[in-house]
Amino acid sequence: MKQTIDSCEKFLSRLDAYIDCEMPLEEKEAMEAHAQACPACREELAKARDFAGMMAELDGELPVPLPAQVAWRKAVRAECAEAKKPVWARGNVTRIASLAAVFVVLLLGGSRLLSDMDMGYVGDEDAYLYTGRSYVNEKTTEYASYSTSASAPTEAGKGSLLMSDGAAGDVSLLTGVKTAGAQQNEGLKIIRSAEREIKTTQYDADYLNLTDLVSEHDAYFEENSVTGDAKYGRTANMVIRVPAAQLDSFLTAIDVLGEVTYRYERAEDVSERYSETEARLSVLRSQLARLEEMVASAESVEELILIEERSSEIITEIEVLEGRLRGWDSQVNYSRVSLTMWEKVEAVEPQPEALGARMREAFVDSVDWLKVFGEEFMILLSAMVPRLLVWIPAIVVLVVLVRVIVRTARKRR
Amino acid sequence: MIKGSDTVQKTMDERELVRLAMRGDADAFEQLMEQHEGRMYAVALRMCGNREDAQDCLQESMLRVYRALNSFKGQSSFATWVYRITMNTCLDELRRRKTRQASSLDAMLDMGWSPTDETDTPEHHSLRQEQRRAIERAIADLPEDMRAAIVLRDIQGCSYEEIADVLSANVGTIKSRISRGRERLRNALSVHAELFNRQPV
Repeated sequence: MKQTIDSCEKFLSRLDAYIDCEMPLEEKEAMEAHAQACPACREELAKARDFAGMMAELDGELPVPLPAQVAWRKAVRAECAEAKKPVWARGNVTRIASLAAVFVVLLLGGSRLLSDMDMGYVGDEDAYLYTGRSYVNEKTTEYASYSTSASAPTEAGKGSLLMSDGAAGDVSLLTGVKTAGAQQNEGLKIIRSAEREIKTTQYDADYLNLTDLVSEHDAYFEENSVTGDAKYGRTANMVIRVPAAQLDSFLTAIDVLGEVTYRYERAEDVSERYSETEARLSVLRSQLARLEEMVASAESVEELILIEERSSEIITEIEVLEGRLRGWDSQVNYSRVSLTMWEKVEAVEPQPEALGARMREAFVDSVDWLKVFGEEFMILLSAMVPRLLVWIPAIVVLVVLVRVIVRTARKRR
Repeated sequence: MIKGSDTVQKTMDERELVRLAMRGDADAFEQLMEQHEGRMYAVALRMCGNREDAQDCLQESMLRVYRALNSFKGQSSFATWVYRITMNTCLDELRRRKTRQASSLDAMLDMGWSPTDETDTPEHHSLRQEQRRAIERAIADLPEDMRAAIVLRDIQGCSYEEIADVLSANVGTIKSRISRGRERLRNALSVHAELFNRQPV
């Protein structure tokens, strides 16, 4: 098809196609010829070319930002990894399976815990090393020391547990714990904790004394709850955090507060685990620093992704370990004292009552009984009425029949 | 751009990579998409008008390509097919945020990227920056269908036929969208006559 460009309108209408090289060669030549001849159209052509040039160079070498490059690659790899898993291992199924696993573990752990109850203590993760205990009997003041767990028989002495049925006589047996307290000065990380149960007849006064003691020793209540009332006796359950250095004087002060009915103390040495964790932390930190240096020299996106993934793993681990150290520090610096204080209320003997009052009471009781009897009888009657409607005619018929038979028998005689 | 797979060798490589990627080989998929990544991002950036959405669209497009590999039958070139998916993703995104302001002016100004040219004088460089911003703003103000056609034609350099293929429209429609789009752009830019050395008639 022969195209001719015979007017400026024609030229302008085909300008876009010309710029876009979307026209046959002949028409192209015709366009160029027109532009040669017509200055106005030549100007339009130049403008259109300029415009096309500006548009073309707008995104000429547009780089894809690194985050965008990384983002889609990660997304595709995640999708790819998900698709490779067997059906049962995907998404929800995994979640359900892990929940089930947790449930089974809890079940097993729970039953294990119950059977171990008499061992008295179950610690966290690797702290299952039960360190032996002492049992104190008030009457004989003899004590037996034995290791209940074969896993750490040599650990005895690191911790000690004391129980007593009474208040006096066993303070001297706390020496093991005291030694542990002294060792703390040498940089050991020892977590001390104690439990007390106190019986008091002057609850309000003793409670005030206790709060004074707490503030005197720079301690604080972690938990504090009270149940019951003044009539039948109150019970306060408290968890008090006491600065480790003040623990001994605090416990001594508590022991004279009221009658101590239960006493337990424990010292756990976490020095070894603490220093291991610190060492691991410093290794991780230097690894992280090296990775950060590598980011600058990374040459490919894949490398960057790998570095980023590894870094975030390390950062997570560092945070977990730091949290663990902080937890230990807190427990080492502030000992935990669980205290139960219960109020002993004197039982009031009832006074014998006067004769008139007793007679009145007996009479009222009797009337009450009569009322109940009357009510029950009415209920019985009303329950019987419908049944009697059937039974009375039947009995009447029976009686008449018997009489008739008896009479006939007599007449025959 | 879509002439990227011109040579026979390239097409063969591409087919092999598509085959591997279809089996879940992420490395093959990345190798396959590397050469399209830049253009896909540019299209997404021009269509969305800001970098965050462009990044999201790029990622979504890549995932769609990956998921749809099985359905690529080779009716069109792989590149055309990929740009169609990218464009559709962007249009979906634009539709999704219809209620929002189409594109914030700040985001448009923020995305300014200019190829560095050592021979540029500072004055010339800043003039070019101004021109770019004016053009970017004018493009962002175009209606979606015109914008899609203009982006593919003037910025990406696709042929009318390819654009028709990508946008699933016929060539006539594309032609008219392009010429109407350009007219709008010219009108929008004539306001900034001082930036462009040729005075508008």
